[in-house]
Amino acid sequence: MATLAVRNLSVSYVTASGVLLNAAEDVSFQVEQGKSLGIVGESGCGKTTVMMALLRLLPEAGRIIRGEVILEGEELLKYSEADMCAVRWAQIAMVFQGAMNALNPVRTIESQIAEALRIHGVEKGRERERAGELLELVGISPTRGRQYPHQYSGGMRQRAVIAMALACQPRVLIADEPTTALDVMIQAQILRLLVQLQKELNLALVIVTHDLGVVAEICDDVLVMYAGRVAEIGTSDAIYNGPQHPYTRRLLQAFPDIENPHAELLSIPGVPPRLDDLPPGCRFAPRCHSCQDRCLRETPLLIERSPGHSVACHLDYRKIG
Amino acid sequence: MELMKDIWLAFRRRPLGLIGAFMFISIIMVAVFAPWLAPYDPDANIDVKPEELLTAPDADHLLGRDDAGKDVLSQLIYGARVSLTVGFVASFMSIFIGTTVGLVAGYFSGRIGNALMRLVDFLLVIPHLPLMLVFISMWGRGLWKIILVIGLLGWTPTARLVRSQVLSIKERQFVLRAKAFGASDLRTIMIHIFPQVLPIILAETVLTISGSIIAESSLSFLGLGDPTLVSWGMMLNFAFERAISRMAWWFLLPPGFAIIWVSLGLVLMGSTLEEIVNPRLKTHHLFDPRRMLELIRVVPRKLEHLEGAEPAAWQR
Amino acid sequence: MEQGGRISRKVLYSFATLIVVIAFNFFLFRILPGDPVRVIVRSPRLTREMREKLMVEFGLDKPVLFDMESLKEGDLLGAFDTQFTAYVRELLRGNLGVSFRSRRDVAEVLAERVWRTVVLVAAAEALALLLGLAFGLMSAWRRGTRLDTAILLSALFSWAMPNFFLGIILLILARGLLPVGGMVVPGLRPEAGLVYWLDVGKHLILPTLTMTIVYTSSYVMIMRSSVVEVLSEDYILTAKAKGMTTVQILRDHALKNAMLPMVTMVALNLGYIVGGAIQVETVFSWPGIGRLMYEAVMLRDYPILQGTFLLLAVSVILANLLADICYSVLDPRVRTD
Repeated sequence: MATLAVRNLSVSYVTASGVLLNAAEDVSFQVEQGKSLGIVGESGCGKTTVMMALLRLLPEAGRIIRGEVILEGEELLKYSEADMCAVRWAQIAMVFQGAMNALNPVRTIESQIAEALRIHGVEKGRERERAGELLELVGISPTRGRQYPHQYSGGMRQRAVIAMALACQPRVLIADEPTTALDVMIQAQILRLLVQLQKELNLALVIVTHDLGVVAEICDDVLVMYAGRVAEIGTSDAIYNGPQHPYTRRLLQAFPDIENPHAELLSIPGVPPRLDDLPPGCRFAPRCHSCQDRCLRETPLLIERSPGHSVACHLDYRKIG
Repeated sequence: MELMKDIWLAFRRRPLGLIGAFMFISIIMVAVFAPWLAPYDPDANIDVKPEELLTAPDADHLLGRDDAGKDVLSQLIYGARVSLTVGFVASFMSIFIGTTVGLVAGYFSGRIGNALMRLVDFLLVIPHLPLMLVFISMWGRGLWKIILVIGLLGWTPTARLVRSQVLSIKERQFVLRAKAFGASDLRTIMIHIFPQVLPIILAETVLTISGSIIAESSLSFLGLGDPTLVSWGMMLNFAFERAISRMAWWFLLPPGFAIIWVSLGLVLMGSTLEEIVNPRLKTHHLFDPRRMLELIRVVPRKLEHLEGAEPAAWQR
Repeated sequence: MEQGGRISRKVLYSFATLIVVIAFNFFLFRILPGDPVRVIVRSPRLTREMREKLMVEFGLDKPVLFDMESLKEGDLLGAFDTQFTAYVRELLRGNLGVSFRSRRDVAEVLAERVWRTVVLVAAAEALALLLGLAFGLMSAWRRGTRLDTAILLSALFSWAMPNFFLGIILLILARGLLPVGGMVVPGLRPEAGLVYWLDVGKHLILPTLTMTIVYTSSYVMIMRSSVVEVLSEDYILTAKAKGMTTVQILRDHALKNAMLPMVTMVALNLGYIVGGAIQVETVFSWPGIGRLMYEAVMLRDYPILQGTFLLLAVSVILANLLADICYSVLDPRVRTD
């Protein structure tokens, strides 16, 4: 059984004038213990929204319209706020985008990690020590626990936040853009760390990013999102070696390929649609050069083309080749 | 001007700001149309009988009469002129000085800037009302003396505000470009930087006026106002000294409420202006689910079938 | 140890400000029209001996700041034998001159009355901080609700009111229930023990209430906007993601961070607090420093005026320094500057 299964999740935002904006629609995926899923897409495609919805951390204007979030058999969307408090961090932990600012500047790192332990009653009586152990786990000397966030470098803060996330040994760890805003050397370190931790703690890891390189390196499965909907989902191999959705294909073409260093890098013309101005049919249709009449009128549903590989496109690339 | 349009639009969406504007404008109208609004002329000499002193409100005198037999309502209406005049002139003085100091200190941020800021810090340390008391007690009383004293002490917050704005503006592209083209310092400040600071100054002016009016009323209440001009503060001074034992509330309360009316109006207007000029729209994370109801009412009808139903056709 | 360096810089700076204030105070009373010094010398209320004593003590027959004659003669030390030097010298001895009205030592009068104001202001400040914190927090947490609007409007209303007027309103409301003026019922002496102190307490209620309401209004508004700002920070989202309840988040994360601007504001407000005390003490005839200053202004008692002003300015400087130190204790980011 999958540790975390999301089915047909739709999330919207209410604007000041009362209009409901569709941020994510019909999103489904699952993650298992010891495996990792990478969620890829451009900024604003709804990936962060979905993650926030999982933990019910949406801002005031957010609404979960429909769907199911099942954690080890439990339907989370039916939980009360009080119940969610117990789930947060202890079952599902999240490392936010811009983790540098996720720490309270006037409290020590140690105390903030210890706080996570204390809230969920983990390691009662020895929170401080455990915090030290966690810091060591991510490669930070425990004595530095008594320092403040501004005394850490960006990479260190990222690692500290990861340590904090793992404090209660959650089943699922969500990392939202864990390497953005870090320089390349540090990026590699963080990724290696995540892989290592995943293996050691048998985590179900979800990595949200716009960087295909990151996903290629450490994810078992990949989910590609576009304008709030799932474009394609499958194993890493399948997606990288045989992408089916036109968007995925273009995305891959836009990234440098070490095996083909002289290939031209193509960018995708146009911009993603505005949430208040979504096209009636396939949302990628306006930018897709394989676009046909049907694409403009009918929204493609996610269909499994081969085992474990589903695509939301009217065209079947297997037939085209 | 674009700014004016933005301000008008934003005010329309903020009821409190509109209320404030109404409150403020109404008092200005009262002051301007005083001779037509006041039932009696407060300066006219009248013959009064002893039993007509400090009388409670009646049909002839809606707010009663004071200890000299004069109509309180008329004094109140004319008092608006004095209080507002002092308030406006003193605050314009403060704003002018503050803006100038702020612009200079921010633009020439080296030695000159630091020296000016030291001056500002120093003035902030001196307690204001005591200093005003000292000045007036030595200079004597009079309209211009009060205006000067309030104006000369009230410029420090504006200076600080303007300076910090200028510090951030002067690093911006268009300023650097202007200077690269050889614009003189004065030109750069007046033509490029000043317009950017103007909105903030506008908001600040409104709040300063409110402070000046209250300062004048405090000074007058303590007996340091111009004895020939009856402002609201002076009315309160008279009332407190002469009518408190008789609990003549009709004489004691109206001037105070008039002051509150004006300064509240100004503060509401000023805060709204500040919000417009400094839009930092942040929503916080502690979303209270109980407020869902309130917010749902805002959602248009066609989306109300949210729970479990099909998405509306337009969403496909 | 860097913190020690930072604090000593602040102390030094405060000391420098102090010096400037003393000089300012000196010149203030010399250069304004109606030269108070001449007034002192000619005041008929002082006895001849007193006048002569003052002339000697404060060097009133000597030049104000600098003795050019002595300098020309090469007498450097003599050049500084001026009124200003005399003033500073006497200041360091604790001699602030003699009051016109009471003919008592200014320093003595100040010492006698200062604690009465301190009691009033301290009690009101303490209450106001607590109330301001509580209401500000409540208001920010329930931002946009009717409770928030109610709290905000009440705060604005009391803020827009001149301090003395609030006193007048309370005076009218409490007529008959509470004493309306003075510190004690005339005739009652401290020797009467508890009865005396209880009476003082009764007289203290209205003035304290007035000042508390005045201070609370600005603290509520500051706390509210500070908390609102803090609540939109990323670390609050993290705290929520950790599974903390709203109460826990407010208590453990929001409060401390939100209080920092409060500290700054309290310090900045001190200059105005003094002004408020003057008004309230006048309305309720509370015999503290504020009322003393008011009386001195009315009676043109310049020595008292000068002494009081100096005292007030000095207290504000000291309080600012204290607030500065508090701030660096609370905010670790500032410590390692």
